[in-house]
Amino acid sequence: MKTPREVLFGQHHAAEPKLDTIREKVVAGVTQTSKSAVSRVSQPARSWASLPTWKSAIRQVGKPALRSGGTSALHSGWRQFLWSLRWHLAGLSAAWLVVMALSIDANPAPAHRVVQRDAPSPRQLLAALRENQRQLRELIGAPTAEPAPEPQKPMPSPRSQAQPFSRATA
Amino acid sequence: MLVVAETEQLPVAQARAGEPTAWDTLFRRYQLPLYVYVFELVRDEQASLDIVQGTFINAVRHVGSLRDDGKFGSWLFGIAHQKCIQRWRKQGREAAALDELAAAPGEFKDDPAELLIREEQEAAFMKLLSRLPVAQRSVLVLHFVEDFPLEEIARITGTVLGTVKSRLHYAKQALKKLLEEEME
Repeated sequence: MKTPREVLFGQHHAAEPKLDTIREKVVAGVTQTSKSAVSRVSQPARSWASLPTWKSAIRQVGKPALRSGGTSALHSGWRQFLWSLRWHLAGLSAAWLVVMALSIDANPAPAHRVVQRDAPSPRQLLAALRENQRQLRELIGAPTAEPAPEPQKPMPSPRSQAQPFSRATA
Repeated sequence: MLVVAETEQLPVAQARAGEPTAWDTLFRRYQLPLYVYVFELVRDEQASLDIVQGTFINAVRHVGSLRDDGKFGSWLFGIAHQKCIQRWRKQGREAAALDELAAAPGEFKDDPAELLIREEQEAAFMKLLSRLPVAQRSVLVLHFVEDFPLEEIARITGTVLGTVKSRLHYAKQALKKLLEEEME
C-alpha cells in the first residue's frame, strides 16, 4: 500500500535527471552572480595596481556585453554606436567651445554702456520735438510759416517835435 | 512518512545571502514535488520543466520578498502556480481551467495518508486524478505532495480558505468514489 504522495513521485521519477540538470544550471548562475559580487566588493576603490584594470574596462565599454535579453542588447547597441562617434562628438564640443569664446571676445562692452552711448542729447531731443510739431501742423493744415513777428510799435517822438493839433490847419 | 516543509531545517537564510550550496539544497528538496504539482496542472512534460526552471530563477531573483523563511516551500509553489496561470492565459483557457465549484465543505479527514493505494490501483489513481477539474486537482496535489495546511494552499492558489476546503472535500470524495468503482 502506498500513499498518494508515493504514487505521484513514483509516476514522475523519470523526470529527475532533467530536473537535476535544471537545478545545476540555475545554481551555476547563482555561483557566477555571487562570484562577480565578491570580486566587486573585494576590489579596492583606488590603487595603482588597479589602473590597468580600469583602462581595460574603458576599452571594454565599446564592445558588446555578453548579456541576454532585448533591453540589454539595445543598451549595448547604443553604447557601441556612441563609442564609434566619440571623436566626432569631441571635435564638435571643442568647436562649440571656440565659437563661444570668440562671441564673448567680440562683445566686450556691457549692455548699459551701449544704451548710454546711443541716448540723444537734450538739444537733439528739442530739435526732434520741434520737427515733430512742425509735421503735426502740416498735417492739420495750419500755416507752415513761422508766425509773423508782432508789429513794432512806433516809438513816440519827443514833445518838441510834435506838430500842433489840426486847429492850426483848420 | 511525509516530510512536512514547515518542520524542516532548510538553509533559507544562507540562500538569501547568496550561497550556491544553500540554493542547491533547497532546489534538490523541492524539485520533484514542484514538478509533480506543475505537471498535474499543465499535463505537458516540456512545459512543466520550463515552469520549474522559471520558478527556480524567480526564487533566486526575488528571495528578498520572502518575509517568513519557514514559508519558503509554499512561497515556491505559489510562484509555480502563478506561472501555470500565465501559461493558461497565453493559451486562452484560464476560465475553463479555473472553474469554481460552489459547494459547502462537508466533514472529511484531511490526512493525506488516509487514502492508501494498492499497487494495482496506481495507474487507475493517476488516471482518475487527471479526470478531476483543475481547480480540485491543484488543491488535492498540494495536499498530497507537501501536506500544506489549508491556509497555505489558499495562499498558493490565490483563493479563500472556504474555497480550498470545498475543493479538497469534493476532490477527495470524487477520488474515493472513483477508486471504489474501480475496485468493483
